[in-house]
Amino acid sequence: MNNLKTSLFLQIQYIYKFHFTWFNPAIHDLKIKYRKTILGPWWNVITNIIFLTILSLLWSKILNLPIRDYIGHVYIGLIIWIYLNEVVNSSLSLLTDKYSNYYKNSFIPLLTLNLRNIFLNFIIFLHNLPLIIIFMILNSAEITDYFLLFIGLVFLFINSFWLSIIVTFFGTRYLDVKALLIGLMTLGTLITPIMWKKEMLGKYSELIYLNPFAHFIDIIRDPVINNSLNIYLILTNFIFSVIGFLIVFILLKFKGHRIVFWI
Amino acid sequence: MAFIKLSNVEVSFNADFNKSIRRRFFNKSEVKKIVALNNINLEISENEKVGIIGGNGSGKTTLLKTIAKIYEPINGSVQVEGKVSSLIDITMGLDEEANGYENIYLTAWQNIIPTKYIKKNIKKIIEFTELKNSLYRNVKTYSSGMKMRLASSIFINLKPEIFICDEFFSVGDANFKKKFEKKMKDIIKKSGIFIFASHNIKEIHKYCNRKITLSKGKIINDERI
Repeated sequence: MNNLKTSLFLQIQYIYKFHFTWFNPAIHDLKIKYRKTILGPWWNVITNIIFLTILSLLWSKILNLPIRDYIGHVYIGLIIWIYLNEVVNSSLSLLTDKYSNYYKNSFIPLLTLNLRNIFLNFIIFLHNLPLIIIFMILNSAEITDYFLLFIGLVFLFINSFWLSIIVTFFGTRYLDVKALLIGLMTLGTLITPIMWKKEMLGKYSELIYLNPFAHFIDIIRDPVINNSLNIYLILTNFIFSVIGFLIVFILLKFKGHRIVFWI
Repeated sequence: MAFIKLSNVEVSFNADFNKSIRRRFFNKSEVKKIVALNNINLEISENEKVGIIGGNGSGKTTLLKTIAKIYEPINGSVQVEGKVSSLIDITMGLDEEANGYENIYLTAWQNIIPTKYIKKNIKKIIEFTELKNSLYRNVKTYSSGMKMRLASSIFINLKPEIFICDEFFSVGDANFKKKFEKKMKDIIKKSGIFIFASHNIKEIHKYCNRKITLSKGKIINDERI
């Protein structure tokens, strides 16, 4: 473990061997976060449903779309977007705020803290799963669609993991990145097909896939809403995972040992 | 067998660390480099209890953090054989919103101590803290002394191969301090290597058999005591 700070492989080995250093604290964080509430993370689901119902009623009229098609499209897009937005926002100040003292004073790999953070957010996100399943039942989904949903969730977790590490890395190094990313995420809400459908762009519809978030959303949304999944989306999500972790590998290799001095 | 070897170690960082993209890339000014450790050569073998002494800014904590692999040197090499338990900031990672009992587990996990160990020792730990009913109160309501008691109690049954501490014998009131010191002596005795940074020469003579004096990031004296 001599090169733990600079080696992605050693850090992955560490989070596997010492899984209790991120898994248990994430469960602890969840418990503390919702301790003083009656419904805990289910509040998120309830507010999402209220927000979604109002939004769907309004926008299905504006866009002249049948509400039955539109409601599922918006709901899946919205909950994934909220999850990714939360991952980005919390990762930005992970080392400069929440775990600053902890990281400065202990021999802990960066991946442990990112995994603890995204695992907490992913558990909150998974509270939407019953509603996703209801959408699938209503859409007469087949067993393969449930399997594809599982694949999509795995890719969402993996992609949010490398995204979180990269955001933490640059968010810690440059204060400007925080302001920049918050602005970009607001823009992302509008340019990602959450409230609108890609078909509305006509011949430019495939352009939405220049936005990586569209891939992360559609790999889950397609089997739930459309009972189909373009194999191309599995491939692109896989490529994003490889590229994402390659960037993490390079960042850790060359600057992993300096992160502690940036805090 | 625990073993530590530092060869020509240099640790340095920028005095005015620049977190602005504009200043980093477009308005480069000369940045003053602080050399926190300068050409350190050191070997520590099994059964050595090493006290590190020096004034403020002499590099004591940096040396401990380098041995604990928190800091990586820009020059030289650090070789550490044996499992390191470092208590550089004992109250780090305490969750103010959680109660004392929950923080026992959290602190343990964050220090790579498995649940099994805590479950086995929980009664002893709770008894040792002397916090009684306060243990079920949020830590944000604790005094700093109570926080120190809580965090320090978790480590009372550890048997580290390499044990690194930074000035942490000032925990709690006189009675607790006495009890804690007794326990610490036991842990130090069981540990393969003990490294302790302090301003207090009396404490170093009490716990250590070797004394290293640092000044401006350099070892200026290394002697058996």
